[in-house]
Amino acid sequence: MRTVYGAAALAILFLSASGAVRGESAAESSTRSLLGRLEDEQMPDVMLWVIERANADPKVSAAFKKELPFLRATALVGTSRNEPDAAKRAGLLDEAEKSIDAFLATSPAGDLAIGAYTQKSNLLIERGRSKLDQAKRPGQDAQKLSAEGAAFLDAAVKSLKATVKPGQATITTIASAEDAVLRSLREVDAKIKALKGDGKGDGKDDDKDDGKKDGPSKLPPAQQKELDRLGEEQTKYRGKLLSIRLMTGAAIFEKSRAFPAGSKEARAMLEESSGIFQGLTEKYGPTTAGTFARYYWGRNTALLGKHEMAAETLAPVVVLDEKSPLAVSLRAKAVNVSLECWLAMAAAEKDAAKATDILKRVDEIVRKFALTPVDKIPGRKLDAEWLGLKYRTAAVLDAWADKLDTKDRQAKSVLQRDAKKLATEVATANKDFAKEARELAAKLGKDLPEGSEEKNFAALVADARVSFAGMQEKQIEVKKLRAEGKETEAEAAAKLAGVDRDAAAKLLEEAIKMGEAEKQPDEAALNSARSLLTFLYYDARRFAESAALGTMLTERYPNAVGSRQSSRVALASLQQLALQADPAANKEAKAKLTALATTMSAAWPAENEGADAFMVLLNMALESHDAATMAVLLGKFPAESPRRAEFAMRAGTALRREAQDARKLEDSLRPDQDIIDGWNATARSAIDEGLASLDKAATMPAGAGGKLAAGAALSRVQMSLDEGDRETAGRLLEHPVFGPWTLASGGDPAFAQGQFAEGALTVSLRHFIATEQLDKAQAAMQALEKAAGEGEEASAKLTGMYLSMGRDLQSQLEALGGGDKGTSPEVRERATKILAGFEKFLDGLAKRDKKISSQIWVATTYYTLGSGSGTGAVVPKAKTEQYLDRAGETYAGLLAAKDDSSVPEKDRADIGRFEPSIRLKMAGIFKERGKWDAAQEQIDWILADAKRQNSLEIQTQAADLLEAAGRAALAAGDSAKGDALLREAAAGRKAPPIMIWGWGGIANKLSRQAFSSSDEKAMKARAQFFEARLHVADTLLTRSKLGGTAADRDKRLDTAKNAISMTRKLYPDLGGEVFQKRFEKLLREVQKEQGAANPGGFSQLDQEAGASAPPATSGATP
Amino acid sequence: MASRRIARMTWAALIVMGSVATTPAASPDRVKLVTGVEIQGNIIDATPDAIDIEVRNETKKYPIETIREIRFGDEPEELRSARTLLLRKDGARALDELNKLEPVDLEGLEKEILVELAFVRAAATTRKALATAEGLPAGQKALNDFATTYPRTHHLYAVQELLGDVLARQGKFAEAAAAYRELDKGPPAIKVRAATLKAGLLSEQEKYPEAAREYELAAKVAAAIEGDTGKRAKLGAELGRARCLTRLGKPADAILVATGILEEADADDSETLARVFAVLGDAQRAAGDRDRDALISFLTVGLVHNTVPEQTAEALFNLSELWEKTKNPERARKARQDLETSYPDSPWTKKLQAVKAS
Repeated sequence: MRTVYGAAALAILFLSASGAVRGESAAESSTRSLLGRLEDEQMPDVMLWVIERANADPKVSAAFKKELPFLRATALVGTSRNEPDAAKRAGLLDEAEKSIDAFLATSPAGDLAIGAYTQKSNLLIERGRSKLDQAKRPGQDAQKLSAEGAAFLDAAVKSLKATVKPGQATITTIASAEDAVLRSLREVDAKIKALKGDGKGDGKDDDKDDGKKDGPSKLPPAQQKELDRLGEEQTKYRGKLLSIRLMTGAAIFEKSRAFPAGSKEARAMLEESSGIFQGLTEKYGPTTAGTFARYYWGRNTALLGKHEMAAETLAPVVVLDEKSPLAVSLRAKAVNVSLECWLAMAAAEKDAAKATDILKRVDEIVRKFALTPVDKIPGRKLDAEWLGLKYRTAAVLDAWADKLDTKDRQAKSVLQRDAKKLATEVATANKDFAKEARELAAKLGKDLPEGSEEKNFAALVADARVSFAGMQEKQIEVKKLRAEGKETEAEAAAKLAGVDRDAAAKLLEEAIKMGEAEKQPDEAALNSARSLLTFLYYDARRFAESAALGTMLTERYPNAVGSRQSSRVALASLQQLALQADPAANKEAKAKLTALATTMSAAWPAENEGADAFMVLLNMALESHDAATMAVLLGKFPAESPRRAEFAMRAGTALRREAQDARKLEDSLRPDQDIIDGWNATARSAIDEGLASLDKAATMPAGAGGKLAAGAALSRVQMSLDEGDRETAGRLLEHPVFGPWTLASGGDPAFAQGQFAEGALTVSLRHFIATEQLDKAQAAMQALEKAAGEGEEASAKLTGMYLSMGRDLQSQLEALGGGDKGTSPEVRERATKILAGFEKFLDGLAKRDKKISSQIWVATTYYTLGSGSGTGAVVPKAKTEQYLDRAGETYAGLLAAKDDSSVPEKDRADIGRFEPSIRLKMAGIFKERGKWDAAQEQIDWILADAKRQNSLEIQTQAADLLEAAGRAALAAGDSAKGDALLREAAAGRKAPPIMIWGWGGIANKLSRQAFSSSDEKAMKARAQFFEARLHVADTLLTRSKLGGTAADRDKRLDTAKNAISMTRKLYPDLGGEVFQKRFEKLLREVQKEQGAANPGGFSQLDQEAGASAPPATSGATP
Repeated sequence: MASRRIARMTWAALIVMGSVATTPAASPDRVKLVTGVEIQGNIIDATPDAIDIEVRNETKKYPIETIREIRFGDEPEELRSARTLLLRKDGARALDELNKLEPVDLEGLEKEILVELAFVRAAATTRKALATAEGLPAGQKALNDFATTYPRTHHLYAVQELLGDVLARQGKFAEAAAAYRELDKGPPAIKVRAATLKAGLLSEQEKYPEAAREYELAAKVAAAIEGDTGKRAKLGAELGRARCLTRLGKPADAILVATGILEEADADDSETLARVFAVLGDAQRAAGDRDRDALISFLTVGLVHNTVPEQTAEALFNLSELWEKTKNPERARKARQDLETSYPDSPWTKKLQAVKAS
């Protein structure tokens, strides 16, 4: 059906879209012809370029420009056919419809109007059909989709059917294809009448060809020539009128599918459609159009359950003797429907003799037709129509044979022989009706074992699709069972799904091999099979094969249907492969991932696939801490991509983090301040760009998008605070949509709880204190306490949050003192103001709020302000010591209160919960003040409890304390103590019940988590891992310099070198450029101690190892 | 040529007398003009500059530059086919056609037809050599021999042009220029042709400023020639100049020239339009930022105006590169396959293969 009205529409379109128009310039004529050829060549994208260019060209005539929207619609429809994304496809078709409407708004007439209305109807029918097909799929909202489909089909009918009233003399307004044809036809009729001057061609019966030929003409030759031309025009318009009416009937028939089969509405639609076809059948009799109309009439009648009437209607088509492909195809349809009717009638007939009579209608002619060999069938392909026809004929013959008496053995044998032949043919084709045909063939004595049938590419792919459908069904079942908690059954169903998947993959592999070996391979079909196989490999976790096939499709056939999805599957496969433990395989996968993502980002920059690829590249840059690449990617990501804002926020936030980290590096490793400032500037503008997209939004995007935006806004507030831009910080914090304070203090638990809330509230608190909005500061504190919760870990969490805020403040002060700004009086003044604000708030709070949590907050903030070395440039040493002492006093006071019976029981219990956190801070304070034993005492107290020994934070502080104490002992000239402490810092201390892991133990504990994925948590663990490994090597180096025997010294140096070498061997990129530099610097020192006059760092290490190919020194961390 | 006239008259007399009433009537000679018009009659004289044909007892003279093809009434079918193939520049197949002629087929043929055979053979030999770059000296010799034997042939200018082409292909630019200069002796349109060919030669040597000047000169001379012949000659020169402008780094000027020609062009003149769009595409591509426009121009040649092999091959070559550049490897592959299959001997195919090899 699609073919018929599709062809009709195309024929009409062809008239308008191609072929030179008289008087046109060479350029216009060439453009018109080019558009026609581009449509033939299926290059709708180029059609759109040509149209766009012609539209912008002032030299193009107004007449041609008027047609461009219509031609654009054609191109958009073509483009939609290649668009895999359903929403985008619908968008393109919407645009096409609008384009046709824009053209129709210019009130075209003649062929252009006919073409436009017809094309619009065709488009609407396609969309309606698509919706109705979609409605049939499992899991879809059938009612909604059916209603939408019906609406499209209604609009199609409206665009086709005449608005002209019967008998209306003049047609002034054209509102449909039929109107347009009728007007053109009447104009031609009038001209014929005028030429003949005999009253003929009065247009009263527009589409009726009376069949009478005019007698010999008496007109002069020129007039006769014109009359002949007009005659041709008349025939053309009559043909168009007929096509349009056939399309109208077809659209109404399609609409019947929007309602449940057999329902009142469905029947009404079928009746209406039948009425049109019946009218056309009666009017056009045995002409081609009349025969088509008859078939549709018969088919509708059969669907209405009127089998006898349908069979009668179809009888003339069943015996059609024409050999043209169109006639043969139409006859096949009619025979198929008739067979369906005869089978139903025979089944319903109680009288056996009468039932046999019905079956006997499959006479010699029909039987011969059904036995037509494949190579005689139009298109040489057994389509669903032919397979149905052959199977049903076999079924009729079999049923007939069953009814014959044993004495009619010969007749019975002939019937069964033909039935068997037909059933075998259908079973061998292995597509529609294959199962039924196999059963029938088996019944008839020929058992067709699985796989024994002839194989070809199409059949294998069809089989694979059947297995694939089976897999999908089972996967749905798995989901359902899991949701019901039936894990065992789900597991069994999953296994079965896997069997189907593997069978489908095997068949596709075979099919592709066969298809590729064909003389003229059908690339489109092959690519479709390859695309499906890519997915199946992925599902089977055959990532290498999936990646290879998907990458091939991306590179060689980026425009094939399915290639875009395949590229995403390949990307996902390579991401999986990049998580492998084997360094070489991992490196190879990463290289392939980078290559594929780069290809995809160039091939589909503004599409979703391109955006995915950019995200992958960004993540890889993030993993390797490659800020420069992040900035480059940000520049490359297209502004027109719908995911630009998302990318800008993600990249901006990452870049800001890199800038922050870079600032903390020691001088020799830190990039130039200009570079860091550049990253900050890029980050700022990227985040602003991303947030601007939400400025006018009513609410935050749902899910991950919302979290990303909130995180970006928080980063941007932190930047503003660091830069002293309180106005921006305040505006962003309290932005009604994405403001971190708005969100964290709001009711949405996605933002009012968890990590984001903690960050947002500490930043808010910092800002409110700095701007002396004390009420809001108090509210922020309360919100923080609420966010910390009430559980066992609440105390640690709350102090953690206070610590974080203090660190941010510290970071702000460090930033102030960065570069050569530290000595500037303006900077000092600004720092003093910030500190004064905090002191005022903290002291006031300490006095007025005696709550345990408030006291802890005061102490923790003083602690962070006093610790660290970065603030030294702007905060005087005496001041920092004062802060530390205040913190220490407050903490000590709290601990003393724990044992003070005058303190309320609840408060004492609270302090008890906070005690480990308090002691950890006190250890830090004692460390800062050089009171090593006191610090160690606090750590030992904490680690005496086995439950706390697994805290990474405590273990890190313990190792750090041992190392610092060791180095202090060395500085004080106590080598033995220093050596012992440094050894413990690296290797740990076991003094039951106390257990300190040491740097080596910390690295070991982290190694698994650090390289399990690339998420934020893993990346943090990764950085801690490399840091710990650096400390191991560094302590060994220090210890090698402490005297002792030469052998001891050499051994420690070797061990230090091996620690670096092994880390590099296992993780070639060493956590990014900064860590690489730190490791290499340390290595050079080791090499120098080993006697190298000119230490060669990594290259020397590679030479020594005799490595033919040194590991990469850049790129992503595995 | 006189003998031919007599022979014809004899036939006419015999027919009048009715003595050979059963002998089939002789086919008329045909002169096909570049405009597509065909004249039937009896060729009574042919010189390098013009053809005289007797049509219904009236002699008409057609300047040589207005003629696309001459067919002698009694010429063998093989000669006719070979000439058609030669016009399509398919020398190899033209020779195959001629080789089908047996010595017995040549018996009794008029001298003019034998001369025509000699010309087609020499020209086809040269065309084949030009297409394959093999046997160039043999082609050159064949043409020289023909020109020496028939110095007054109506093919004289065509022979000189082809001779220039074969010499140029061998890198003998001075000799090629000398061969082209022979065309200066012809009527104005042929002189324009000579200038255009010389300009092309300069262009081939990458002497673009000189070539542009020569084309400009040719265009001026052509402008003075009335009618279609002048128009076509001017157009050829202008297009040549546009190519030079592109090579001289002035693609914007080249685009202006080409679009100017396009505005004047006849919508039905597909051959000219193929050349215009090829020049336009070349300039757009050279402009650097107009790849999409270049694609459209070359597609117009490849899909619409695809009757001229040189331009179609050029378009396919450029399309293969442009599609690759614009991330459309499937279309690039198709363009390459089309070029290699349809124009295996084209210099554009060789260029493509050289690019691939590198």
